[in-house]
Amino acid sequence: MNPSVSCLLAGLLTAPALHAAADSPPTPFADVPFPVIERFENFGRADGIPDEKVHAVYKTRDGRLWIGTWNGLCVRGEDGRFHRYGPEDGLSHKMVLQIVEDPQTGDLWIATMRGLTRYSGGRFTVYTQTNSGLPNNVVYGVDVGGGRIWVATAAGAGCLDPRTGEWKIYDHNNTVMHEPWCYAIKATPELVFIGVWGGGIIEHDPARGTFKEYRDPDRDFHFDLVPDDGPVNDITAWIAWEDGRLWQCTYFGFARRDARGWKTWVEEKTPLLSNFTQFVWAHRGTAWIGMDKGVSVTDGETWVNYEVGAKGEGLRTLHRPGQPPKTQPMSTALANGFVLGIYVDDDEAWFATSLGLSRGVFAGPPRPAAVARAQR
Amino acid sequence: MNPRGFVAVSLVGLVAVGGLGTGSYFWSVGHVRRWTGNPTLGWVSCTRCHGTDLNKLAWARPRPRHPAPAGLAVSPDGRRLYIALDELDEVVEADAEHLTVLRRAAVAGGPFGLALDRAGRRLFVACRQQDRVAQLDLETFREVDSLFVGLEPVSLAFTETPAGERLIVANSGSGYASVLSPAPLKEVARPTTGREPFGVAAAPDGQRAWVVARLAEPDLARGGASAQPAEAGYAHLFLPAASELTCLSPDGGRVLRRVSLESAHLSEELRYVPARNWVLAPLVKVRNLVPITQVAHGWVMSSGLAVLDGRGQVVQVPLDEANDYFADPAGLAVDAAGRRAYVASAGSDTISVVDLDRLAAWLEQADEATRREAIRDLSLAAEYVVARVPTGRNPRHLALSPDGRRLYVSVRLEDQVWVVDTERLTVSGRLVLGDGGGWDPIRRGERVFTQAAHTFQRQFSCRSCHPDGHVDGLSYDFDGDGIGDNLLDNRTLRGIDGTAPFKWNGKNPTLPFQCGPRFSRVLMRTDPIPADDLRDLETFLKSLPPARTRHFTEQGKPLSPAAERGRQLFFATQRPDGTPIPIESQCQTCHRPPLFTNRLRSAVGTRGPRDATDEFDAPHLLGIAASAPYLHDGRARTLEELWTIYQTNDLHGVSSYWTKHQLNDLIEYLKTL
Amino acid sequence: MPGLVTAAWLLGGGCALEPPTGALVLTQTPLTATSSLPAATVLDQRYPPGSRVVLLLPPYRTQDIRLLSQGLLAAGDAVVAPDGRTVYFAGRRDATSDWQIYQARLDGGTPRRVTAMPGGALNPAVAAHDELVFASPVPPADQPWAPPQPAALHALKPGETTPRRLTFTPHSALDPTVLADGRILFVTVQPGAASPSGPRQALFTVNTDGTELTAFAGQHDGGWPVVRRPRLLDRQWVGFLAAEHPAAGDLTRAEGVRLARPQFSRQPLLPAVNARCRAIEPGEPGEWLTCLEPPDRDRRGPGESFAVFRVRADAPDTVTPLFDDPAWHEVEAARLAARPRPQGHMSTLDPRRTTGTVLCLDVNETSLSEGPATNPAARVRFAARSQDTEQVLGELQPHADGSFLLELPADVPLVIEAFDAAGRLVRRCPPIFWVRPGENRGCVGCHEPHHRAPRNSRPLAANRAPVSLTPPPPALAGPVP
Repeated sequence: MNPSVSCLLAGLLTAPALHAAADSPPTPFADVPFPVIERFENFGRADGIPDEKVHAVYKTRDGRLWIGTWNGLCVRGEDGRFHRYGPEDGLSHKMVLQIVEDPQTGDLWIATMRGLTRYSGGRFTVYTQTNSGLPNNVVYGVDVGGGRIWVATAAGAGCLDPRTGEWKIYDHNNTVMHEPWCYAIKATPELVFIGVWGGGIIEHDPARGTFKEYRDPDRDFHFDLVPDDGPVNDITAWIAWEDGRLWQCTYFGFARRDARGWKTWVEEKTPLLSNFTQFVWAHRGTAWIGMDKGVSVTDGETWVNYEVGAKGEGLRTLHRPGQPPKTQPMSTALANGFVLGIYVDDDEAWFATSLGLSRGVFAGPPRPAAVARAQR
Repeated sequence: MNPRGFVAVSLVGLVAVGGLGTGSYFWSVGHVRRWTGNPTLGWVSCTRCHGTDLNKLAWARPRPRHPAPAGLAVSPDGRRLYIALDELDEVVEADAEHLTVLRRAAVAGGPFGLALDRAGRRLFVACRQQDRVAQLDLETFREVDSLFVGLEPVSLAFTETPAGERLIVANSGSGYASVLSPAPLKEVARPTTGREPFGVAAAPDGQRAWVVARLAEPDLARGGASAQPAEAGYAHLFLPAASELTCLSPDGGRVLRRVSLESAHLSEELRYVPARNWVLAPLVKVRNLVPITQVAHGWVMSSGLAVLDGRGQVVQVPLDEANDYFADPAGLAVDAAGRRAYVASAGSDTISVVDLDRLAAWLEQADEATRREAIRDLSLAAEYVVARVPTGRNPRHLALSPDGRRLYVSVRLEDQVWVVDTERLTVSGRLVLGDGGGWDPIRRGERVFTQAAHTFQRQFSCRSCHPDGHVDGLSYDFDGDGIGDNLLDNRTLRGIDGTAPFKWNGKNPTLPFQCGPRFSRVLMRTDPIPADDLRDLETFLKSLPPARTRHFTEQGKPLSPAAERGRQLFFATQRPDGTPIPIESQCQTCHRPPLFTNRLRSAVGTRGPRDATDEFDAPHLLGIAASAPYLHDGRARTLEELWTIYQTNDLHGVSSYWTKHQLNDLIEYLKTL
Repeated sequence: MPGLVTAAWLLGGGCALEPPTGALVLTQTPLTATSSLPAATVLDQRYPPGSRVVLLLPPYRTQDIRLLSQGLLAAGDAVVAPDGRTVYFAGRRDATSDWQIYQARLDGGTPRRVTAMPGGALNPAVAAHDELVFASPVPPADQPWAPPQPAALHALKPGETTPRRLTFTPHSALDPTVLADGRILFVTVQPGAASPSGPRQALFTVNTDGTELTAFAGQHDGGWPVVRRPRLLDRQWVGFLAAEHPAAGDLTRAEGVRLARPQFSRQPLLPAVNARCRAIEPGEPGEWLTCLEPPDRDRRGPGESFAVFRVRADAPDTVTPLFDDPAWHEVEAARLAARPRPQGHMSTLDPRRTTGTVLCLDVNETSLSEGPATNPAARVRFAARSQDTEQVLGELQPHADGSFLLELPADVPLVIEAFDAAGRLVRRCPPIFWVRPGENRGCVGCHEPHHRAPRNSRPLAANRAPVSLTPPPPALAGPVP
């Protein structure tokens, strides 16, 4: 189904309910197995964000919130305002695409359009394709695992061993990779997954030096002809991994691989808000999917979608298996439906959108601090 | 044979020999020209490329070992003094009061740095040559545990954190520290630090630890702005470098803060002062960006002390005076009350006594601008330096008795530990460990190398630019050939036996020529080093082995697959498509094994706008990974940049066919040399 | 026992033997003048006819004296070389001859004349490699600082006969002494800093090749304006004589500056002494030697002579008499003992050149803290001083960081003037410094704070070839009143 038509239909079907609910606060969705957002708080230029196009958002273990924008890296200060770091401070490029923290060292690794940057102890260190073994300056994704730094670049994946300074490059020349354009990378305790644009997903076992390719078995570029047969599409836009579950974003649907095998979702047949999925954050078995029309949240069974209505209002829709969707208006909405990055923990959710940053405040009473700490 | 026959035979013989000689001459000239691609090159000795046997070089031969004291530690009760003797692979326990040796423990691998646990029951030893930390049980005085850490660990600090005991180890050859849990020795983390981490300190409460790097790096200055890599050019050469003071969380090894010590380097020790919440580090304030038109007034460098206060502010204050300098500040000790600091000037054989109350008072009243400029004010030290205590040759490490009354000084190049009475500020005793090695020309040469006496006002020594004979990673502008012209990277002195000629233009045929009147003229501005001293200095320099870049456990092992691929690339004679690589463009021609140099000058397309020549001496590549930056003016900050930025028309090897994989492989190989 | 040693040494001739420990070289002047003629030169004034240089041996009795200036009309100004055996002094053979430098024979023979300078020579000092440094010509008594031909410092290597000129100050350069680092410390007038009693004198240093003229002390400390006879006393102190007025009869006291911060530490060295001082010299370790009138003014009679006293460096409040010959004024005393040789200086001069180069790192770095003097310099003008006129050599615009690099004529006093954008003269370096042929001279700023090391930054001027102001551009050349 054409995405715009499906959106229109969904709107028509939910219109009466919306009208009825507009005058009173939405009743919280009950028994949803993951946190549901009650309201959004949005942040933009007025809060010190230098550019409204926010590509990435990440909260470090010390509680500081970092965002990567079209025009620099920002950290949120205690006063709530964002302080910017740009190339003049040592950032390799103003356009920040991803941020990740090394849990061991506390270092921040920042993927930019011109190199990889480490932010450690207040200082930036830059790795480029000319001053180091970085495969390419366009770094789409970065992750830390096994004491190594893994990057997805426009010319292959790379791995830096900070202890020796050795770089390894993985591309179509030395792996089963279909092409070198890598969009995402995820390092797990044993394996490394590389999201390849047009090449599906590469599973790499560093200990054995092996590579395994996951491609869409039906080989159809636009349609998921055979559901659940493998990756939903070869155009891998992002991947996430948690507790044995691998999540795949493509521009033609969304997929998950776990011990039972592959599961695929497309908007025409499932609650997935849009086939154009471009980011996924996995947290406690739940995938938070950023796309061009908002955010879908699912554990694979239950779905909650967050959209921005025609008038800018927020909409949330609950999809339970075997039940009709339930849509509620929200007093606040995502800053923009084009969601490029997500960070979620037990306390809150953050969304990087093309028109600002949003914080999703979870429904329900705040959890006791001790519990929150323990869970963290 | 009759005379006529004899004459005839002789003539024929002479003609034959002459013809052979002439033929050999022309053949060898042609041979060299063919190999170098330099049609103007005259006759050069065959030994430039042939006949070098690494095993016969001075640095490969055994050298005398001396009981030179390195790190010191005093037991918590003040009764025992522990001394690391790195050259003898021994740690000594001495009676701290009567200065007699009580026990000796064999600790292999060059024991250099020492740290005691809080109770004084275990002694931890950084073994520099075997890349490990050893634990000695002080009851038995035997090694009971050992753990490999990074390259060349030189110092360590013990602390107790809520997560347990921790040892912080500075691995000077690796660019990272090791955070260990000591019972048993086990690695917790390896936080990266600045270049050549050397000094380490930990707060007693286990909340913080600090590591100071010995070398400055260009990318750290100005909050990292210079980290912006230039695609080509020299602008980055003109930015001040900075060494790093890294603040860690000892429990998990997380880096909390990286503090820049702008234009400062050669910090080799570090102390935390709990009473003031200060961290102190001695430093050399280097002024390599200023053309060396003079030495006076600290124009080239001066000594100082970095004070990192509890607010995270760093102030660099001078230790030198307007007309007297105290070169190569190395050892540092601070009394428990935080009233006094003692700084050993290894190049000037002096202990400077710093009154920290007076220093604090000065800092308190100084405004921010004054503090920022403090290190430049060579009249300032009189405010807080209350005494200078002369010592023997090369005081390197210091330790205080728990009551602060006795200062132990490792007088390294005299094989002695001196004791300074801190109330009278006089030397009150000496523990003689050896004869000083005056019979050993290498030892005598090391004394010359580390002595500032040959420089105007004793401002610096050879070691001030060549720590342990290696590089300081900086480029300098000597004025002898014009102000602003011919910027020169500081070349390593390690592994240079057999690599003559010297200097980047290859014009100095011998080390005495290099280090004698020429250097006196362009840098030291005093009388040349006397001839006898110069001979000893040469002997010492030739005894320095190349910088070690492979971990002790990796030595002698086969190359990694990537390094092996890189090796094949280095020795490649043709491209993958079979196209021959001209002899003169092959890596191995100019960087010919085993020294990886043919000791000739080559034009590799690196002449800068202010350089006087196209041709530069081919440096040896032994330990090359540890001698960044590269090229004659140091413009290439990494090995990669040699080919990604500063390669011109395949003049510096034929690299145009390389893939990024191959470049990475080649660099892995170079890192093994 | 010392007496026996002394006697043996005196009888033995003193040539082959080391002089006894504690021997002193004294300058003695007669209690009363033997000539009624006015003194023509500063040396005539200081050392009237009959003045002599003698060797005094322990135990310092009047009979333990050997005359070193035998055959001379007058002598004084003695200095002992670092070897502890060579003694130079200034002497005058007769009333018609000039003062020249002589080398004493410790055995008491006739001293050897080592200079033959037109106009005479004075103030010997010994630099590294036994190089003799002295001032010449001898200034007239009535106009010592600005005579038609001011005294300059010269150096003469052993075995050479032609001395090299070292200084090019517009005023006399006098009283050289050699510091441990090899630099020559001397006295000249601080231009533009007059006091009510005449020109203000200050201490400067210069290398043994005449390079790197540097202000050492006394330029801006407001102390007494008359400064004489600096001496390195020990590792901490440089002592000198200071007076409020140039007249010889006024109180002259020993003052000193700490080597650690000479510009900020000037103070009387003998605070309890209220008597004229004629010399302060290093003594035995931990001690100084001084020549004073009897310190107790109340007990001082009209005929009391100057005498030699010892001072403990760590207790300068008390002076201890060492030697006094009532028949003479002991006006100068120096230990005849070896001391560490000063460092040598490796010259980088190129005698073939007629110019030197000046690199200023930041013309706007100044200690002047208020008013137009702090304005950034838009132009810098250079002039060469000749007699009483200044010839403009040219102007340049400093780089954005305040740096400039230029080539200037060698061996002439130079004037540097900085003008702000409005054309106002904001800072001026008076004609006190020069460059030697081939010298590369660096300076941190313009009137920058004393003892200031440079910032570690690459001056923009170093990225360009030096501006040449030789010969002067015609449009700018010409005398300026």
